[in-house]
Amino acid sequence: MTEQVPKIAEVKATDFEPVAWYGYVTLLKTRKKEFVDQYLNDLLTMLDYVIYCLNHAAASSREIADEPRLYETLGRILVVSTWHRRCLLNLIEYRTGSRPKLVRTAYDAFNKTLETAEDMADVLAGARLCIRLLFSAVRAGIYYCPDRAIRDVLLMINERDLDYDVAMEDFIGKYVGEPDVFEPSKDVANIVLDVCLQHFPQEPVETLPPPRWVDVCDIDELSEGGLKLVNADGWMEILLAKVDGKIYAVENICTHERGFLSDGITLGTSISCIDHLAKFDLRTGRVLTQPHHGRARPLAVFPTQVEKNKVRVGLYF
Amino acid sequence: MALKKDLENMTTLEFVEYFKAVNKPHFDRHYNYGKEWIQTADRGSLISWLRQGTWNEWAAAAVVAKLVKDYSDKVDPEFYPMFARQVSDEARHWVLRHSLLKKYGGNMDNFKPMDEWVEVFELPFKVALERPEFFQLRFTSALQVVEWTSVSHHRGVEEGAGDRYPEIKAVFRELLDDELFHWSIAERTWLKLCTTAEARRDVLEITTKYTLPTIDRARTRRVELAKRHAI
Repeated sequence: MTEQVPKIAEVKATDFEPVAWYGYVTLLKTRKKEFVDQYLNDLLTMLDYVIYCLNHAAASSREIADEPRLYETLGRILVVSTWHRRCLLNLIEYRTGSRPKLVRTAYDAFNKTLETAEDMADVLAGARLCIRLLFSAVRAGIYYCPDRAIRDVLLMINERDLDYDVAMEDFIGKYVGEPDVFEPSKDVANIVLDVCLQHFPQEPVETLPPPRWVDVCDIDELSEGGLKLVNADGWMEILLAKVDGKIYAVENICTHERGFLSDGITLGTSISCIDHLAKFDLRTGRVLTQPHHGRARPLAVFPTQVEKNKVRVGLYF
Repeated sequence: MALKKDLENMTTLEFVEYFKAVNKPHFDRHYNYGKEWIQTADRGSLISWLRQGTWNEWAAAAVVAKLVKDYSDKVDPEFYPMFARQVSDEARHWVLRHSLLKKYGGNMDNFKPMDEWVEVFELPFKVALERPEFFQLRFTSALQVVEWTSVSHHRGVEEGAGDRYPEIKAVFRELLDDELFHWSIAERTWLKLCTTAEARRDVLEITTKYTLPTIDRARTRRVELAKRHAI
């Protein structure tokens, strides 16, 4: 009897989003300057790659240009992305004393993309993948970067996440019927993944515990199986959940389309957003079930402790 | 012109002022040209004129985007946000002109761009590639200098439109505001990069020998054809 070999599900390029997220979370938790500097350079590289791809569409896509409103959207996205680029340059210059010029890695990767891409849809899908990975990295910085100035800039960049998402889907939609699920070709995906993930260290790195703990509520306010929404530092909504006597803390805003997880449904150590049913693991932030449309990203999670009847959350900034 | 003898020793700011001063009569002609044209234009010629203008917006956006995506190693990346804003403006103008065209009963069906205007948009790369050491300076001397002629021309159109064409007046006021910004990209390029007498002579030469004659031909011909409803 022939042994049945289980089939391994095909890995999609978008499956690397959690890789980018956990990779950058780990690097930032080391709080080492060299890693933070590298992190900023990586963001700049990813953004530049996207800027080149968008310029390519602006210069060469008759399909997009033939729809004036869509072409206008492309222009606006370019303005936003180059503004974000300038913000990153300022941060890098502030931290290192030198201001990058042309980011050769991004430009070379873009030119390689043009050589290997099957068509404009492929280039745009590559750009979208890069944007997804970029925003995963940006989100990691918001919750785990030790530098407040960096976090402020990243918060501003992250505000445009959905704008990029919607626009890219519209651009790709000029070429393919189901733009939301359209993936780049393997060659283009490999180029993008190389751009985004190339600087992760080969050796394990040592992460540090959070530098500060904040009181968020009394232990009595949290019942077994219950949820409690708290506010940290006046800007960040954190959701506490008590399961089997353990307290978990996660960001409260769903990473799919910004639903409020505090209105969600818990089952054991999972929580589902009631907006589109993205489901997350409260212990790790991992996405357990993706919604039917779009993609959720891993949730930021924070360590908790109880001291003198106060629930405390560990923050990394 | 007192400054002419001293291209080598003037500051970049003085050079920008010098450039504007020596070319002012030319830009004034573009103003008058726009004003006279709109005062005599009928609806059919307006449609014809707008068809070419609508295409020009797309062509300008595409050329600037091509600059960033194909020649990034030859331009200062600090200019990316300005180029992006120009692309964005041109794209918005594409929308505005398209709506204006529709309002007057026109459309872009079977449109074929005029050869003279194709030449206007091919010129920036043509001259820039001939001297890579002055790539960005030459590109700007061809593209963004055209924007300054557009400012003059469109100001003439806006002021000449009067009560006959209020929609034209409103749209072109917005257009020329943006074109003034696009022209400022040239000013900023020269302030930063046009630091030698050789570079300054080159910018002046490209402008007078190529850019201005090319845009003159294109504008004149466009009006000639528009009057015959032939675009």
